This record gives sequence, structure tokens and C-alpha cells, in this order.
Amino acid sequence: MNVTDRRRLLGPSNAKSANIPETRTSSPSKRSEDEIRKMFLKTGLVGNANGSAYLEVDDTIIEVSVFGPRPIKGSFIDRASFSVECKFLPHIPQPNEETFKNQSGSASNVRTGLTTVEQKLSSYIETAFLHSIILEKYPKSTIDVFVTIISADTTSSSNKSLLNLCNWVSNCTSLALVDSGIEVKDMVTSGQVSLNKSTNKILMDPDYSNNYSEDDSVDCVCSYMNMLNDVVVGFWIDGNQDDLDEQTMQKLFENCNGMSKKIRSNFNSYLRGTIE
Amino acid sequence: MILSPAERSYLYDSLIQKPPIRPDSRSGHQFRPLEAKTAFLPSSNGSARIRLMDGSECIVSVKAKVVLKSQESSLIECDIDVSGNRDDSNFVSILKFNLTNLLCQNFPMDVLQLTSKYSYKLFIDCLVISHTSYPLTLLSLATYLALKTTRLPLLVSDVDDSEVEEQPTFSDDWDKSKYLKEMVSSNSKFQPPIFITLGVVGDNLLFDPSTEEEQVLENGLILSWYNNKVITPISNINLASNSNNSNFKGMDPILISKSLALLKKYCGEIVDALDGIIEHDDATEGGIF
Repeated sequence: MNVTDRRRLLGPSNAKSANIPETRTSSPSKRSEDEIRKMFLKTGLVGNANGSAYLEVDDTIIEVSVFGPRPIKGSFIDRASFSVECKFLPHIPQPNEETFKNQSGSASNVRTGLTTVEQKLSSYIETAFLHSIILEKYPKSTIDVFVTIISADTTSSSNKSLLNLCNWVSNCTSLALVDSGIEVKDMVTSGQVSLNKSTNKILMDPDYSNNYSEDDSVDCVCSYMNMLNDVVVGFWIDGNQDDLDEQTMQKLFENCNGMSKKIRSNFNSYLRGTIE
Repeated sequence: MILSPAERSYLYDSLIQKPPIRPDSRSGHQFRPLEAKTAFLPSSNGSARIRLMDGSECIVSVKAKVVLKSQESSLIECDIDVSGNRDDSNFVSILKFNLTNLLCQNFPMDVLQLTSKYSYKLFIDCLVISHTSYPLTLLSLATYLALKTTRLPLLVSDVDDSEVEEQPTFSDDWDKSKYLKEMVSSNSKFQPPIFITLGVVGDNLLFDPSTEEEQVLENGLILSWYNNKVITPISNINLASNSNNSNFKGMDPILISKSLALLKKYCGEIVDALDGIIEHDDATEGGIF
């Protein structure tokens, strides 16, 4: 005899449990200390720009478009003027924005103009690329670079994720410049490393979202032109370092150079792929 | 463009000599002479005014406010106003970024503690009245002097208010107010961090480059100095940002290491000189130049 339980609401008898895939435990990165995160590159996505590049690394997504050389009206200049504008999408949180926000003046939540963090990124990129572009070839014109940060990792409350972002923005910009066909002396590539003071260990391209202890490290982003005697075109060292000596500095630069070379060889093979 | 091509080339060739020949006959590690006055603004907790011989002038005022610690993300806020530049321009924003970054990371915040809930917050307002060269060093030296002469009223209420709801109360007597330097734990000296600007020409590093020198520099360095040590942040910058400097190029990382050694050698004297200004200022009452 089939006795049905009428007091309870039961599901249909042929119910199946939903097939939920096993939750992925956030695996601590299996990267070795001198390994760079995997990146996705694409050039030429923006049709009306002279050159553009798109880059994804983990949560960081960057798009760079280069407009120029564009003619200018007015007085004659013998070298092109070069300008960079770096912007976050309007509702993307910016790394360490709390510190640089002017609390007294923040009446509205709408950002007008560039924030201080965006200005700093813009000026880093401008300084780093100023030497590489052969501005003499383009008199009476301007070269404008527009960087859009579509997504960024902002888990770190210090400047460190800003340094990491700086690194990827400059690498992406250099790819966009190559795509635009503007004459450059050499491709600029950057590297970013973090030196842990207590263990004296170097970590390349650190991932700050992954339980990274950040109290005790000094971070460095450095841009190079590797084919021109590894000359440094831009650098920025930040972190909790109370005494910076020559050895630390040398170590940071050496490792940044190593990383920039790795990125350069990746870019080279990507660019070779786009030609074929 | 303030220099003609011939002038540029002449200046560049003389700066690249060993030792460099600078237009105002300074040696590579010498600052331009400056004049300073401290604690002259009656309505602020600390103030300083610095004037350079080329007419550059900067006023810094420090004001303090009692805040609830839990509601503030940072206990120091800087605001910079440069005459002739828009507040949202890249030039002013970068100055502000650098100064805020330096102070927020390195200022001994424990001197601002009042009780377990309340704390002082410092508002540092900088006004660059006129400038010819890049004003960051000028700004940071004036900030140093202003912070050194900042006086805060004496707390008379209980320090521990974790159990009771109590607002801090202060002594009315301004003579009992304490200097920031007196509130630092006795074993350390209170010396706020400063920025030093260096110019790079060839293998030479030039302290405190003037406007004309900035036009021909190959690169510029901004280094920070605190407690007799070189600290972070350190970065490079194009000092002649408003003009088309065709000499600007990359540099050898060895030069950056060299700049550390130079700073270690000479920065102590700079800080001593600044402390000397304050002592001299205390001794002589008088007008503000």
C-alpha cells in the first residue's frame, strides 16, 4: 500500500538534485616567484584610432588608443607634442583613492576631470614614453594617447596595486604605439617587482589579491628600453621602506629589467603572430 | 621656450663638464640660498614662508582639527594652490599627489593621537605665490618648517575614553600648548620627511636645478629623505614639463644608486640648516621680511 505523507509539502518524486560544480577553492597562485601572470593581448580593436591595444591580466583590463600624428592649427612647432590621458571608467574604484580624495571638497560623487591618481598614472606614462617617440619626425602635430582602465585590482589599500597597474598600463601603451606605426626609438616595456624585507625575497608581478602580506615590502615599477642599453625611462619606488640602500635598489632594478625583457619577448611573439 | 638653441647648447655643454659648471656658479650639491620665516600666521597652528633668491615664494599653513578616528581615512590632508595654474591641472595634481603620498606614508601619526577615540587631523595648505623652477622642493621645505613649528593646545581631559562618552577638552592657555616635536617619544627626533629634486645631465647629478638648468636636463629625480635616511617614494620626472625639452632621455640605473649616496652625504646638512632657521627665528622677533 502506498501511504503518502499529506502533512508535509514534498517535492515531486522524480526530483533530481541540481548539478552544481564543485566550488573552486581560491587556489593560492602556483606561480613561481619569477613567473609573470598570464595575459591576453589584442591590437587594433578601436577602428577610428591610429593604433590601439587591449590587455587583460587577471582582474586588470586596460584599453589604450593612440590618436596621431594629428595636425595642429596655429603656431609652428618643430617637434610633435605628446600627451597622455589616463582614465578609469566612471564607477571603477581606484587604487588607494581614499588617501588622495579631497574630503572637504567631495560634495558630489561624480568625478569631474581627472583624479589625482589618474593624473599620476598619466604623468608616469608621459615621462616614460617621451624619450622613445621620435617627435622630431612629426613637426606641427600632436600625438595623443588615451588610456581607459576598464577594471582594476584594488584590494590593496596602499599604493602597491597602483604600481602594478602602472606597469600594465605602460606595457599596453607601448603595444598601442607599435600598432599605430608612429616611429619610436625602441619599444618601452616595464616590470614590477616586490621585495620582501624580512625574507629578502623578490616577487615578480605580485598579485595583491592573494593574501599577500604587504606590510613589509618595497615595490618598484620600472620602464626600460631594452635594445638601447637597458636604459631606464621611468621608475617609481614605493612601499614601507625606511632605509633604501644601493644594494636593494640594484636588486629591484635588475629584477624589473628581467621582467620587462620577458614581457618584451611575449610582445614580440604576439606581434610576429599578427603579421602572419 | 626660454632659451634659444645656442643658449641651450652652451648651457648643456657646461653642465656636462666634470665637475659641472652651473650658471650661478653653484657646485653640484649646493642649494640656492633661501630666506625663511616661521610661525607668523596668527590663526594657524603652524606656518612658514620661504623665499628663494630668484623670487620663488611659498607659504604653508598647518591647521589642526579634532576628529573621530573611526571616521577618517587619513589624518593628514594636503592642499596645494599654485598661482597661475588651475587646481585640476596635471602640474598641481602631481605636486599634491607627491606631497600627500610622502606625508601619509612617513609622518609619525602617533603624535596626533589624543584619546582612544579622538585624534588631531592636520590640514596642510600650501600656496605657491610665484615659482620659476619645479616647486616641489620649495613646497616640502616650507612644509618641514611649518610642521616643526606647529603648536597644538594641551589636552586637559582624560586620555582613556574607551569606556566613557567624553569629548576632549583643552587648556585655554596658549602658553601651555605643545610643539609637535615635544609630543614625539623622547628617543626619536621629530623631523618631517622632505623631498629633494635632482637633475640628471650626463653623469652629473645636480641638486635643486634652476629654471634654466631644467630646460636642458636629461632627466629629473625626486627622492625623499626622512630620519637621516633615503626613503620611498622615489620616482623620476620631467622637470621642464611645460616646454619641449629635446634633451630628455632615459638614464643608467647606476646614476640612481649614485643619487642615493649623494643624498646620504649632503641631506643631513640641509635638514640641519633648516633647524638652524627655526632656532634663529625663535631668537629674533621681527617682521616677515
